[in-house]
Amino acid sequence: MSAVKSTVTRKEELLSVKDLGIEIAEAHKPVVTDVGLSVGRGEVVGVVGESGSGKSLTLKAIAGLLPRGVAVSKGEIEVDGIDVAQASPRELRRLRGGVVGMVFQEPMTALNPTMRIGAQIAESVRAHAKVSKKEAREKALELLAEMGFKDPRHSAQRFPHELSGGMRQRVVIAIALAGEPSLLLCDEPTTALDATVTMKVLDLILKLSAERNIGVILVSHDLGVAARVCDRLVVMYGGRMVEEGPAEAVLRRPRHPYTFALLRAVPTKDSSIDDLRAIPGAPPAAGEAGPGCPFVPRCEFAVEACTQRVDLVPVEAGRRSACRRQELFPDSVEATDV
Amino acid sequence: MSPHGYMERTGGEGLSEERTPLRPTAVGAAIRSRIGSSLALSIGLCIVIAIALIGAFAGLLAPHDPVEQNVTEALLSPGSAGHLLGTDQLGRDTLSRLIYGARNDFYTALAALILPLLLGTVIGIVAGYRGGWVDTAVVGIIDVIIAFPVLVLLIALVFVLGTGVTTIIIAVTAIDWVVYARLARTSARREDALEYVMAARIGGIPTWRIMLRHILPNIVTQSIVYAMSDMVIIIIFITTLGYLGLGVPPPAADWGTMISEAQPYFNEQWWLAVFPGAAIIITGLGLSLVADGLAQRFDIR
Repeated sequence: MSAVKSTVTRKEELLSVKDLGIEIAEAHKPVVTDVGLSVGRGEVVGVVGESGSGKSLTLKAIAGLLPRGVAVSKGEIEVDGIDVAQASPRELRRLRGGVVGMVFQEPMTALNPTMRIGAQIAESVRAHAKVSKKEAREKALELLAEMGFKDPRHSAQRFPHELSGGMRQRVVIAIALAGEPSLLLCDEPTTALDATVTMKVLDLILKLSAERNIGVILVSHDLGVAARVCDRLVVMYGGRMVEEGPAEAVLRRPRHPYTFALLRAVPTKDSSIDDLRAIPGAPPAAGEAGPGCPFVPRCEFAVEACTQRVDLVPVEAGRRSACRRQELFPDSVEATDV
Repeated sequence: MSPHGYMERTGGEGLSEERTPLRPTAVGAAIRSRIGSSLALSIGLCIVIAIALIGAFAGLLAPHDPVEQNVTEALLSPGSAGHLLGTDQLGRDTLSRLIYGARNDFYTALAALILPLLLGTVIGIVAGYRGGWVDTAVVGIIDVIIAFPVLVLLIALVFVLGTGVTTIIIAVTAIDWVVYARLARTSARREDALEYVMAARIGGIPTWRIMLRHILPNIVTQSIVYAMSDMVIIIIFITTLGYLGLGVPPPAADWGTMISEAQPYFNEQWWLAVFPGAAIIITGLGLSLVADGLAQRFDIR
């Protein structure tokens, strides 16, 4: 990874990920390579990429929740001054929920089907604060109200299956916030929701980020979602970061062929269906990417040099790209709006 | 999700071959397919509840003391005055012995069911959720126990420990917990991969609480439904032990012992073997109907 720091001014850094590598432990197959991320208070950072790009694994590594058989092989993850890899079980417990909260993709499976939602939220409150059961219940009701539930007292008595998808996701967010974390990790939080509910949930996340002054990482494969809420954007492909920068700049003037191709594959209100371009080929299988740019086999601009190691380099103020062919992206060229 | 997890899972599958050729729900399923599921389940429940009540109130229901001998009234045929189902070779009232047999066999089986259910489920959840060396050790022990033929192992244990109700319960528990441990372990691993467990973990909720409040309630239905069919097997084991003279010690009434004692009289007083045999069959049938009906209702297997 390049030593050059991004020039975006940081508001009090919450999360710093450096040179992160994740591999399938037994096979030593790297699935995430050289990822560097940082999130400050009140900042919403989007991580976009297609399935298998390593975005979810990166998020799980930050939470210390990698699935069995997958492990961090290199680099460091520092959350609020605590190194996740070196943390003691006690520090990890404080970290989980207390510093980091997580929102999952599928709100139905993210809630325990056998517990009333009020009890589930209260349980998470009590995991981090020495409060009585009654106080925890009150806190749960407050959280439900903050999440926009009209009648928290009534809703708290519901089981997850009695709620709609959007309501469930708001309960999941309430649980994630129960320990007053300063960093909220959202793993495809709207993928399982209807379009109308998606906007409400995104607005809620934005509002919480501002009101509670917390940092948010939003993993999504949906550029529209990312465009709507993110301050900064990280584009991942084949387990690597290919581009990073302020969300608007990245989406308007991509500096990597993958981002460019991704934008062309998104339908917009101004584009006709004929303008949509699918990206030919398929992403590399986990651990199969070579040392060079992972996008080479599908890239129409690839040259011989692209199969060699490519680092993220600063391309303009606050932006970095891992493409050798920057001459392709003159600053004046604009891609389609999102 | 990961290739590693996949391998683990298929590795676990090798364990799940049936350890006994008996399929306790087969009869229940056959009946259900003829008379409909709700009727089958109702009949099953009625039978099981009736047997449980008969056993519980044996003292009130039995017309005679089940162990009281009266040689002058030995081997009476059914329908004799004062002895509805006749008497055995020692003049003991068959009906009373059947009723007390319900108490001994049904409740011994129940105790020998609940203990392994609790023990095995706890061990299975801990092993499945914690993983690591604990899991490896538990799976090793399970494999060793499963490698033995159940009945042979059971008889050997009772032989070593001496006969008696407590012994039977201990022996059955020592063997039967593996079934529940395996079931709970597999389920715990499945639940562990679900996001709500992950959510609880990232919520900083203590491990014991995750196992107790989150995993247990979500996997316990399966174990309980399985326990119903397991009870059929346990009742058969207990009566088999009784038949072999290793069961509830005489003179206490036990259906297996009754069949065993009736053996010399098969030709003349065949009913002495048929009544306890029928009691076992009816109990097994009731449990089979309940087990199959519940499995159907909760969509298990």
